[in-house]
Amino acid sequence: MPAPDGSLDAGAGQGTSAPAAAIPGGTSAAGITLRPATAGQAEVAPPPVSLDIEGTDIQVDVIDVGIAEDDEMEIPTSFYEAGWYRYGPAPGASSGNAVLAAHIDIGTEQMPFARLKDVAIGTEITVGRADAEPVRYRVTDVRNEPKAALDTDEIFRRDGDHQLVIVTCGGEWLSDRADYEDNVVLTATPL
Amino acid sequence: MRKSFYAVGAVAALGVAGVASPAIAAETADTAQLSVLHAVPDLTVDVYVNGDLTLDDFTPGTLAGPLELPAGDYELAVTAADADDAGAPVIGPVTVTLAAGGNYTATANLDAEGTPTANFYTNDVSAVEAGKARLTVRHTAAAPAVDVLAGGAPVVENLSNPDEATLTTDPGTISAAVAATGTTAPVIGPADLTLAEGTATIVYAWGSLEDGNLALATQVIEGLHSDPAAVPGAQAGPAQDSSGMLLGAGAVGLVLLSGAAVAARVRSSRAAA
Repeated sequence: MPAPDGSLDAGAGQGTSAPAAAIPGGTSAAGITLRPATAGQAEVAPPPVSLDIEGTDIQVDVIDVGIAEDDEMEIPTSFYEAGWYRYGPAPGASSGNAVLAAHIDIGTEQMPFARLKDVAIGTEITVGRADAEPVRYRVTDVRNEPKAALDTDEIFRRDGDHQLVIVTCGGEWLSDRADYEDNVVLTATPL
Repeated sequence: MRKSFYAVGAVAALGVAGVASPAIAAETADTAQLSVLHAVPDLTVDVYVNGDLTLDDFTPGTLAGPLELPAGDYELAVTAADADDAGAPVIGPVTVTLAAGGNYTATANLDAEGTPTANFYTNDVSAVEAGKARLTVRHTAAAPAVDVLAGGAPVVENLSNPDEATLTTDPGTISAAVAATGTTAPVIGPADLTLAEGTATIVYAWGSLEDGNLALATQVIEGLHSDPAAVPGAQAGPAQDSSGMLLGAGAVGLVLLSGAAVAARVRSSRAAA
């Protein structure tokens, strides 16, 4: 609506001040959060580059992955690489689960991650990171979860206590479904 | 009866630097979240809610909130910064309705002709598909219809004040610019804009073309992510006599996500003034 007396004419300022100039954030007297409406800088956590599960053949490179077109987590094609779900927390984060996943080899089950199901509770895991100290974890749980009932809400949670979660396939090969019955889910807590 | 904003100030202050947390709203289904954006250049104002001074000396380019408020009707008025009360508003008063569980942004901005006005937008806080980001663009500037460009190519076309357009896209940093519709010569930007996965980024084009102070304001709503549907952790091994069935079943292709924006939609905002 029109300004009552013209004093609000936006042209009065000659346009010399940049509207998006930095304005200190803070709170108003009423405790309301104020901030400049400028684009924030995303926090960049050091990405994981390697995974070593003590006493196993799982000593592999880690690459970052996202979502495949069928809404499933993307998995590296190499049996000697694990994928880190880049949209969730990274290893070493203060909260939430860092999720790594890799393939086992159907039928032969000779590749490193085929042994994930045999990792003992208490085993130490080291995750190497780009431009950051490695982070270490201790295994607290290894279990098979039926794929049909996989608790993705829990596995991929982005808040709460930080854990490392490593996922692959396991259980019976179901030839009628052309898929493994289970996911193997390893959980580890920071050391 | 007046609803006092001061009573909820402590709740609002718990929010992280202007980033809404829809999870909180979901837990208290009888409340709504309201942010307020000041997008009138060169003008410091006071904002009154239901007659109570709520934002004192509110400066252009500032985003306040989100305030968590009981659902209901609220009267908003914007006055000169030295006003004694809400009796002589320069914008409003306007009445807005906050529905339980809703997330809203009220803007003080210029209309297409350069007159201060208010708009009231409903923010889409539905879950974002896994691996994607939501981008909403709102035209709150004294300027004709515009196109929004990402990497030099239009992703939103012919957007007029006070309309908005929303699209779902791949996360990442885009080079965003705004041009008069049908052209590619920027009147705003290009500027890097980071769209994080699982978030809604709302970009406001504001200011005045005539006065040469067009700019972008940004609001981010986090925590809208979805989880991957499954973890397909098996494929045919290298030592295997790979029958077609096993390969077809187990191989997981690396699928490059399309860079193109999908599901663009344009709708008119509800102008409150």
